[in-house]
Amino acid sequence: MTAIFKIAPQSVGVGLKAPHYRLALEGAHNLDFFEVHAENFMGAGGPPLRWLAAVQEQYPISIHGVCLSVGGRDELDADHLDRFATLVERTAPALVSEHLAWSADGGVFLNDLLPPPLTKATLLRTCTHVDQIQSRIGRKILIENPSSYLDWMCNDISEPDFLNELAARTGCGLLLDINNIFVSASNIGFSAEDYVDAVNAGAVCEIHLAGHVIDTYGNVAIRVDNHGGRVCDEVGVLFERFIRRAGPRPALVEWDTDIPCFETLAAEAEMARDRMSGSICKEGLCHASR
Amino acid sequence: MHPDEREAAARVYAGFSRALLSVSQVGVLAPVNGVDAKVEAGLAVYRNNVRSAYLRVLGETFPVVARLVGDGFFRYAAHEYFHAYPPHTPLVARYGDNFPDFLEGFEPASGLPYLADVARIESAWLEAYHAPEAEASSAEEISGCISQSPDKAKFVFHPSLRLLSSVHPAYTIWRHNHEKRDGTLNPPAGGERVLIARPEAEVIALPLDVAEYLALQALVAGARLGGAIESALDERPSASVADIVNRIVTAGVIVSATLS
Repeated sequence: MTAIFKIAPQSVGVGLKAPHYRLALEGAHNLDFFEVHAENFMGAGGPPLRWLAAVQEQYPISIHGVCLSVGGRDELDADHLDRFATLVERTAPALVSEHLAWSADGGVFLNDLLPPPLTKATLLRTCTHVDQIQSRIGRKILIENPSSYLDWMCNDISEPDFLNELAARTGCGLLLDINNIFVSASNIGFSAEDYVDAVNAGAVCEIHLAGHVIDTYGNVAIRVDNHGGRVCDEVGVLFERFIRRAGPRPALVEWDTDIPCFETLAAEAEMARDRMSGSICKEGLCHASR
Repeated sequence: MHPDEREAAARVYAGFSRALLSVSQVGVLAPVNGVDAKVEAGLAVYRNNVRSAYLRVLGETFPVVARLVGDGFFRYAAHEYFHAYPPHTPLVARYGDNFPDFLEGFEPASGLPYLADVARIESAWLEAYHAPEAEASSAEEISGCISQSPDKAKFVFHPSLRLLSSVHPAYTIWRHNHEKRDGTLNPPAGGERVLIARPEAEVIALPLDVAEYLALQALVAGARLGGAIESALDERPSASVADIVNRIVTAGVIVSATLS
């Protein structure tokens, strides 16, 4: 089996869902890479791993973990880290990522990406967890910013500073989810532009784009990161803003609920490609980024 | 760090996870910035995320149970299960492992006595789907081994093999709804037995009669073919030895056959 380790900065891809396995492989699209949720491929065998093996013979893949609870106060789940490492070893992906989030506390697994308190103590513990993961898998991991619906009073470090510091101390990369920034900024009330500008661009190795919805609870409107629709224009503009400053980065569209037909999903990624190349050209960087 | 800060951060984890798990809305239980209505909305989003994610997992694992009881009842059962068996594993696909046992004792579902066994078929299906790979032997290879010394033949089975027995016609009910058939179902009276496995890419489900089931169960436990057939005949003296052997050989779930 040949694994494709490299992923070009100008690449665009999509989160790969089971209904699209066949179409992804048949190749009537221009997508450059696919990302999968690690936890969907942690069985010992069976169809998911067979499909993944077939896809990775043709495309670079990205393994995206969602359950390691990197930002939690519990110790990392050693069994789960083993499963994660086994999958990374088995698939030799181009990119490996997890979240600045917690999913478990006191052994109860909450199965959501919850924002940790952004304090010095959390930073120290998260650095330890990232060090443990990187030494277990023997390579760099990218850490993604969460979407937030609440703002802890004890937070004393801004999220971009927290991520920059995490990357500086552990050598991890960052996965910048532009939709999450926009959702959190709207819900909590900070400037999404300032956040995008504050992130250490050199540490960012991948971008996520996704859709969200506005839900109403009582008379409060709240943006919910449901990955259930097209990337909104505001998120597209923030993406361009980052690319103008940082240059191209592998960009991935996530669409996990109300999954559309493959063509619609691929078209969303092509829009991201257009935004990316447009943003580079405006700055006269087309040649430099070849 | 100041002890108050440490305490505040600890309350985020402890208080917020309690707020997410509690049956009734209890507030965030951790210090949060913002006006009450916004905080309540934020908490509601997280509570909904957690519950809907687990509901989705159960729905994906138990589509036939969901079809049998209907959407509203399934949601209710999932809600009760969430609080009866708080999730502990990051292997979210395995969240429903205790769901069949939960349904067995779930009083509101007692009118459907076969429901737990249908759920067990769906659990076995999921286990088989994710089981390790192994290459099954051909019927010729196995028959070749058996023909040398039928009594002494021993088999290694595919790691995906699961055998289930129900006092209800759970297999017929499951099959009818798994294939999303409409129309009246006339299940047979009495119990049924089924073999679930994934010898190739697809999960298979084969109904077994009592003799086949008992013989396979003995073989899986390590018995030789001769002994396994005997234990089946003890229970069903009228069973045909040739039919039992044929069923076992052609099921495609034997990885290796040896003589011992």
